[in-house]
Amino acid sequence: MGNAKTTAPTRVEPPKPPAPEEELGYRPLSQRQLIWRRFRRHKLGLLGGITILFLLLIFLFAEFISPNNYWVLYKDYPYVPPMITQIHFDGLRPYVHGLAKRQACIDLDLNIIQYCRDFPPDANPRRLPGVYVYKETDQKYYLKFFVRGPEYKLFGFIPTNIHLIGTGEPMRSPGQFFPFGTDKQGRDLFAMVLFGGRVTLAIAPLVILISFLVGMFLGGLSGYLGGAVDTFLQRLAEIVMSLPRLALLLAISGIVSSLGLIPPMVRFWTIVGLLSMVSWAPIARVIRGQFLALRESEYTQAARALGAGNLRIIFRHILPNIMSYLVVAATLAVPDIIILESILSFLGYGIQHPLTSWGMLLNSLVGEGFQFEVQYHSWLLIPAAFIVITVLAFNFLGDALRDAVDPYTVAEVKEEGH
Amino acid sequence: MLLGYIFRRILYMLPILIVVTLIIFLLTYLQPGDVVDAMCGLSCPQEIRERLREVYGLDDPFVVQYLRWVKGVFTELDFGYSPIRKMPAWEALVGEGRWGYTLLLVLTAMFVSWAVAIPIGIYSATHKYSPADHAFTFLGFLGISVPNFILGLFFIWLMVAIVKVGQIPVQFGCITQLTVGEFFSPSCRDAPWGISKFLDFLWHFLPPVLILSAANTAAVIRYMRGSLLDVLKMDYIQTARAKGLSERVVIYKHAVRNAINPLISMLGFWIPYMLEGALVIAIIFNLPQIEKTFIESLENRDYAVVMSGLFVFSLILMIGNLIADILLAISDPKIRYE
Repeated sequence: MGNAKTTAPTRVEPPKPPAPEEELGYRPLSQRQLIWRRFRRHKLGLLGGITILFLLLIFLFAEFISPNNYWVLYKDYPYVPPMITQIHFDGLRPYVHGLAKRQACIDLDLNIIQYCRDFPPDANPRRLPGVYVYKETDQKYYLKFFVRGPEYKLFGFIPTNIHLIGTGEPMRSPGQFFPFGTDKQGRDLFAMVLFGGRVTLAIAPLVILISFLVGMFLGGLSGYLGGAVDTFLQRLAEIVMSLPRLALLLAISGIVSSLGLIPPMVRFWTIVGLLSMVSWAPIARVIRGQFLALRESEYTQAARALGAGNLRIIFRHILPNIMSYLVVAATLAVPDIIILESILSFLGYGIQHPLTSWGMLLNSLVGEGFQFEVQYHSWLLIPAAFIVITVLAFNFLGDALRDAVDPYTVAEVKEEGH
Repeated sequence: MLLGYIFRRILYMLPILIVVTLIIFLLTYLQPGDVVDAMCGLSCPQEIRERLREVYGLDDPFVVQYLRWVKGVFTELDFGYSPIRKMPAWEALVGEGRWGYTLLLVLTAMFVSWAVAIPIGIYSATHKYSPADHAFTFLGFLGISVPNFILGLFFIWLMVAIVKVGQIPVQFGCITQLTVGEFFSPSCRDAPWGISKFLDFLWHFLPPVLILSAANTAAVIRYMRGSLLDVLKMDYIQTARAKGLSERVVIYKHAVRNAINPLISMLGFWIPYMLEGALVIAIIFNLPQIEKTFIESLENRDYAVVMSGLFVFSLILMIGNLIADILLAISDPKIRYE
């Protein structure tokens, strides 16, 4: 596996090696091309990969794509139901009606919820405190593309106020567009989902990176050196793995937050650190196994015979060969991290205001009022759907990558006549 | 032989126990505020403060305090006093039968997932690439991917917002209204046991069990299918078939018996996930379990209870792993007892 060959980015290769193709009658493929070829056959894996890329893209441009800023409280418009289904068309021009907040009443006999004064006189409506209905006014507000709206900083440093879509109305105007509706305080759920996705998808790779670095160091040390070091590190990993990680994370996080108010970014890194603390151990074990297997392989022995030092063998001979396994393991570890982070934030011990994450958005559903919220404001569950989609996408991608990287499983599939 | 193995295996738990108690004690030790603050408030006179510190040995070196704490924990489950619940922390955590509910939920979920998954796994492996196999594989994938706290949220949404269980008229014994969450509907909680109370219990108990076991079921199906497929390729299966044994005997007596061992060794791996799931499910369904007390105490900053909770969870995990290892040793004669 020459390094020069594997770094060729695409199948369009420089005109240097046309000879073997003509001589052999077929085109020699690099390891990377073989993996890509096997991966492409996995339609679901491809779908997962595309989904992840798409999500990453929209999360990167979260402030631009969403019509409103996620941190703004539209106090006049709490609990607006999703408006993405309320878009009307005037020819080809999309528009939404203006919002008019009204107190909702319920009639248990008729089983309808609507504006209290709209009930027929013989009905027996009961006020539902905290539940509103939004009547559509006759005023049409056209949705415009690349509209000037609330100001924000793109990528955190480019000040602008151009949004992909929106009504371009000022904050108190009834002509607002909330694609996924709003929450109790009148924050745009769509904007929060996009921004929360950015936080969630930033945490997972960071945690994976840290735990892989730690896991690679300890696992590599353990697998390469063997002996007493190996035994000690293995016991350590086993002990870490037999701790109740969620309860421990909750307890530590609770104690940390009781220390006082900490800046949101410090909180963010605390969560990253805590999650890495519990996720390095299984990774270290996987890497140790790989190191053990490759330590005795012929080419490692050959390198050693040629006088290569430990570091050279590790970095030039063993690491490049287990890299593909590591990529697969990393992809498959992402869903677990996302779920763990979501649970922590869901219970209120993860990411905290003003940052947000999908789990934290669901946090409003914890506790006494949960059934009430779910019954009347079920759009607050939308972030949960995003968690599921993301986790599914990573699982599909990871499975496909595993099959693509591991030639044995593919050979098996071929045998069985696929 | 086996007894010796079990004994060694229990000895092996000691380092884990030491680390767990050390972590728990460190958390207690490092957190701001101490017993003195809890007992006589921040405006405590310095004199009484010092007396109390002396009584509780707060000025002793760390190791002495740790050893005293460990001794208290193991001799009389003394985790300290919960000022909020006004009782010993241990009592506050497990009292009122909460430990029973925790064990009941986790054990039932474990049992259900295996009872459902093993037959499906066998069917999938013996009917490879049949439509049912594809369906089960897909469902398994879904079961692994949808975290159970989201399953719980969606279940409650389905019941409350779509089926509208609160509005379905029911009148049966103590049941006056269908509800979601907790183990009994309010009207049945104090009623004497009877058919209606039992049905009410099942109605509330089964959804958490099924949701909690979903991920585990999916995983067991997957591993059972893979493991059985591997075993079915073995030579001794061919021998068994060549001997003229019926397919049923080949599958159940030769193949499944061997395919199940790797699954048992995975048991220890799944128990932590099960407990994590139980924690979140207990919150979502508002179940009167240890887990709920744990979270409530965390919110109230009642750390004595939190620490005893951590201890209980670690203990359950350790015992679970122990049982898994013993089961494996019994089921797999190849396991070495050394």
